[in-house]
Amino acid sequence: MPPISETAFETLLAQTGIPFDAAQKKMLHTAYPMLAAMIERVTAPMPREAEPALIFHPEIG
Amino acid sequence: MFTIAEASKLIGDKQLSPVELTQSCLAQVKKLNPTLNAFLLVTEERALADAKAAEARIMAGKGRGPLDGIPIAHKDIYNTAGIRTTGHSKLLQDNVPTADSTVVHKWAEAGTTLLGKLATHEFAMGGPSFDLPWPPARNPWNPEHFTAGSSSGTGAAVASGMIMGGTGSDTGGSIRGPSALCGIAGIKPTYGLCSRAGVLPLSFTLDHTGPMAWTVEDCAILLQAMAGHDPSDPASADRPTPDFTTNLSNGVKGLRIGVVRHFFEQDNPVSPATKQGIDHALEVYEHLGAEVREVKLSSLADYNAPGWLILLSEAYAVHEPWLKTRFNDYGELFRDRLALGGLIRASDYVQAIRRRRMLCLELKEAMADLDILVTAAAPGEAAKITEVPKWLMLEKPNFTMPFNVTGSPAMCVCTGFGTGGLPVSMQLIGKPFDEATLFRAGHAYETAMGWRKQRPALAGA
Amino acid sequence: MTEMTFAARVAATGLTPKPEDLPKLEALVKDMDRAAAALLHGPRSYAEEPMSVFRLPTP
Repeated sequence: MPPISETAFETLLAQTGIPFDAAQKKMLHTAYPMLAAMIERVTAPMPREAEPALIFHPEIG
Repeated sequence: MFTIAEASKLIGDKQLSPVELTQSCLAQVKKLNPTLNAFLLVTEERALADAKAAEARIMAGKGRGPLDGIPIAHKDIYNTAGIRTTGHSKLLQDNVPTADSTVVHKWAEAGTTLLGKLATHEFAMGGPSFDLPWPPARNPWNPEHFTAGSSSGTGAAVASGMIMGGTGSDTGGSIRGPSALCGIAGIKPTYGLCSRAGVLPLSFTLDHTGPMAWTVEDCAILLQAMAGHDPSDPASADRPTPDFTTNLSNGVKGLRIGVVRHFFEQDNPVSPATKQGIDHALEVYEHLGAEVREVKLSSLADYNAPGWLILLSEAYAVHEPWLKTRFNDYGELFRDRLALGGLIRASDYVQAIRRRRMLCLELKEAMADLDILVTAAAPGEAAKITEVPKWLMLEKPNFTMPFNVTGSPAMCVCTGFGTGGLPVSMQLIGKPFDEATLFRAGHAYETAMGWRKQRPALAGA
Repeated sequence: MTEMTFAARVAATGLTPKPEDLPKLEALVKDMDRAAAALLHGPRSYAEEPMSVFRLPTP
């Protein structure tokens, strides 16, 4: 996965609605590649019919 | 110092007074808590009242069973009626619940004496932190070192003999990590076996409640009083609770053990002492009649990736309103780690839960002709408490998260000590709802070895 | 939410809609943003569980 651009990362941060200061943004930008590597690992191809591990469970009463 | 099993027998035989036992634990708290910071709140009056009530029941021949009069404490994410429950956070520092969590209620009904509330990493994830209203718990084997977390206070309090057992919670390893680094036993039961109702959530689909104690046998006794269906927990499994103690001493002859060696040799290589401890334990099992063979799973990183993405996404959803309005009231470690959860897209979360099911099926198939798995619990001895990286969970895949992802029961057992004099450990993993076999295997190893005779020096055993 | 251009949000997803479709898409997404904000509005217990639960594959 190519490194995230500054603009795209700013957009991700802005979408959270959290008022990060400049130092916090920088620190999160440093950690983000490790998170992106995890995302890449789970989004690797898998069978289309692979179901999620969570099941909708309508509660009664 | 007694184990729960020993104390219980003496109490039942009227040779040990629950009041005297509680007083001796309270004395240990007074002596050690200023160094170890294991307790956020000591409920001395409640403890003595509980102990007197237990003593009266036992003298009247109306004892409630093996936990009657046994001193315990709860991780401070378990709601306790009328007693402050903070999540070790400024955000809840004045929070006093009106009702007990299900597990707190069950242990009280079993006759335990409540000594107080125990330190945790903030909201079960942010630690070790020095910017919270209370300091972080420290390791009784060397207070300069980390306990691991998040059930940090429980690990420190049990190892140092302040309590005989306590509650932990485990979302990515929070029972097993501190059990491993504090040299005690701790089990994350099967997802759905123990109620999460009334426990502050971190990640709904990965959170487990479970017990921590000095021995495997004590964990079995505590889990017996903790497990069971709870309609107020939507994930609770509606099935009978097995008997965890009757076959505890049946040994491991004929048990089929799979070793997930690549986890701790290639995927995240462990310290020589940790590896030696596991290899020796496998020799012990073979000597006792078990069959041991190697098993291959997906990599540790493959299991950690969906685990952390699910954990961070779900935890972010729980905390989102406060993150937006009170971001800087959280400790730095919790808020910075959690902020990453806001950067995960919904579709990535869905891919993570699809991947999770594939891994569950992989493990089920791998264990089809095995009874338990053995692997590492932690990479080595505890690091210094001031040297724990903020992004530890992202930098290296941990050994515990895979079994939160699969929901399997998993337990830590001490396998000795490393070159720094701190404990090392192994992890045993069972099939869903087969905690009894895990306890049998853990108890056989503990009985064969002598590690349970050695307490931290400062505990003054 | 902090100000950002709609084009930047679309670019961050990796999707490449036709430029002439952007205004209509932006209007739709604004409606969805309002719906999401309504979902998040108001006090909500941290103990409120989701309706989807993790189920282990049966032994």
